[in-house]
Amino acid sequence: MQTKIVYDAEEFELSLKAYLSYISRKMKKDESYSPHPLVRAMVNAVDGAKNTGKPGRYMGMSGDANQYSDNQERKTIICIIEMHRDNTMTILDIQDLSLQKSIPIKVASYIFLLSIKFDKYEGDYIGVNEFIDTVNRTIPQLNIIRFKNDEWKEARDYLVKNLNTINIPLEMKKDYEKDFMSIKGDTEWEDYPPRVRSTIATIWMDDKYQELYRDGVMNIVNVFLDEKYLKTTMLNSILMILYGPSSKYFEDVLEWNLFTDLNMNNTISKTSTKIGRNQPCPCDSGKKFKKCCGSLIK
Amino acid sequence: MLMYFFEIRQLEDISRGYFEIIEDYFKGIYQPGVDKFFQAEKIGFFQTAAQTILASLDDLEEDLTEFWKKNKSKVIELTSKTDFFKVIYCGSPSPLDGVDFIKRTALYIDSLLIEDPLSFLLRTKQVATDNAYLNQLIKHSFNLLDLKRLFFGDGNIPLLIIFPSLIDDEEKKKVRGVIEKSGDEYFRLLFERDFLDTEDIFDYLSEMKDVDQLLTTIKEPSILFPDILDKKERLIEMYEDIRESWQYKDFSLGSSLGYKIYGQFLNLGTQVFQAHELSSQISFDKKEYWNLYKWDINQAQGMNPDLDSTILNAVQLEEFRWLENLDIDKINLVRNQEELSNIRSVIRKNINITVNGVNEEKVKEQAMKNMEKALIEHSKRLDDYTEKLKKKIPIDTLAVVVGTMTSIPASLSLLPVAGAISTIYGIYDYFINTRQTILGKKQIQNSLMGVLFDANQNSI
Repeated sequence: MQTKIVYDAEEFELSLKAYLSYISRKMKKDESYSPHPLVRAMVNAVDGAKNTGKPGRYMGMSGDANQYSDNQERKTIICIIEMHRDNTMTILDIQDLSLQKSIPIKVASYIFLLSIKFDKYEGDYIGVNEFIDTVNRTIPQLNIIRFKNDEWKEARDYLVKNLNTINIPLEMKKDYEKDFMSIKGDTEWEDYPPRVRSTIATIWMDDKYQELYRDGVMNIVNVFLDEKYLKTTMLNSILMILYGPSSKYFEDVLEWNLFTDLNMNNTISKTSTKIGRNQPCPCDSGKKFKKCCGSLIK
Repeated sequence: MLMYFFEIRQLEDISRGYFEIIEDYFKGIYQPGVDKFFQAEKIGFFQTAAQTILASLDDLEEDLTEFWKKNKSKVIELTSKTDFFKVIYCGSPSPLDGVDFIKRTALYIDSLLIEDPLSFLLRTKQVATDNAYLNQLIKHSFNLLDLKRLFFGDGNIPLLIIFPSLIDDEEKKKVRGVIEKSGDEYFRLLFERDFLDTEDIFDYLSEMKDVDQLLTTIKEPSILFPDILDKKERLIEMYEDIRESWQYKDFSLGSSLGYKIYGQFLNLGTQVFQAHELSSQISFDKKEYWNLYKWDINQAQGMNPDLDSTILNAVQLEEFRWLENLDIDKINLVRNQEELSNIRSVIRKNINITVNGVNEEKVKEQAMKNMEKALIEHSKRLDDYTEKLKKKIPIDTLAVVVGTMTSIPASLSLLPVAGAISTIYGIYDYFINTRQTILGKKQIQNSLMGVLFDANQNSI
């Protein structure tokens, strides 16, 4: 019987191969095509290994700065590999520096699939409905539900009536109170603090639209103020849900496996970092490493 | 052969371009030597990876369409103008028994033409489930990659030639009209019942929900899967297979038989049309298709299949299983049009005269006799050469050794130039004579008959 971690690893390998051949075709047709930073980080690590020609541990890093007009990155990914004497490699870990978490193997496979699916929509943006449809079809453990913005006033009043039923964790109570106090009678929906907007929307949808909920999955009510968003932003938001700080559900219920679980005996060598402090940052921001992703490592 | 040099090069260039596309899409996940059926099942087991592969293939249709738009007319021109002995493969949709099927036909044909199976499968995306669609794509693309080397003849006619669908919408309609008549006739005889038209047949079939109900309604069971004894099991298997592969599930067991039979007739009709366009014969790797083909031309035209088709089908029978021992790479290396033509005439010998080329059983027997006879002759020739070689080596070696020993002093003292020349000539003669014997033996070993002989020896 195959264990889940072996299943995840084999699935990742197949997905990676499919994604690599996909991006190589894409880049043949469009030189400016940029694959997901996860793959760029991996390619950078492999390139580093090839350039030195020696077995050992190598780290590659990449970010998504080139996706934004302000050239600021929102996501930085590092990939640490072990290059063996026979030219095969083992992935020791893939980390999301921005969220300071290791990327689960299964999520890495989802990233490839979502990246390809998002590419089906022309341009840098994706419509909210397309996004929800794509994510819900791709990640069976997730059910994103869109809040109907034109019902916000009813939803707000409904929350006020049921305020005593909300169970806010003690450690977050102060922040919530502060956010709630900032709202005035004439505050527009767009100006509500995101935390409050999300609470209003969730309580409303929970009670009024049960038919949109699915059993046995994580149902997430989302408020979308715009009709379309940058694909990169949307992908990052999914990653935030899947393994970010609030991803306890996935960690506990789905028991994500990490690359480090596959390589329990391996420790990441400090000498694996091959990027000089004054070298250009591999995340394509154009800044020096020390001023960009290097500062995150500190 | 030289007259087709440029045509062959051009056909191979087209195959090369085709494989560049296939490799672009599938080489990353293809593992040479690994069973394609197992690989396809395994990939389907990894849901996210399977979805990733499927999503990554979206541009394949566009790339293949573009490729065939550029090369279609060239393939038709090159294929139809050359007088190779060409045979179109008819099946589902590339020969998945792959090398074994090709080995059985390789000695009788110059080239097997295969309609691009991937372009065909891409058209099924609308009706197939994702799993079934991917499973088929993986199997057939891996099959093509397994067979890739046979698309290149190294100067000779390539054993396999890929071609695009030659049938346009207008012709499709015509073919559909013809095959519907065949299907209608088939079901009229099967149920011994007159139907108004195809729609009426499907209405009738849709009421057959249960396999026993269907079997008891059938009046002429001999035409239903004639080679299958357990028809009940075959029908259930067919129904489950279609239901598993199709997105649309709401149809009865009877309807599935309708889809199966009309589908097979459509495939047959399409390939017969394309065979006509490319001046070629037609060959099947499944007996089910062959039986349907025979039945159809007999019903429609009162004819039997021609000699070549019958022989091509005969070599697929159990009695010729030993042909699977053929070394396909060796065949690919040694085959040329002249030798193939010789082998064909050996296999065909006496068939026309004695059996008129129509009785399948007799054709099979005669073809086997002919092959046996040819193999015995080949074996005798091989023995003769071996005997000659045995005699030649000791005698010539002795002569040269003696000659060398005597010539050295002579060449050194009295007749240096003449002695040197005679020594060289002695070695040259020896070398040439022995080499000719060795080459003669090698040549017959490396001839197509030699490869066939090896295969037969291996099966004993």
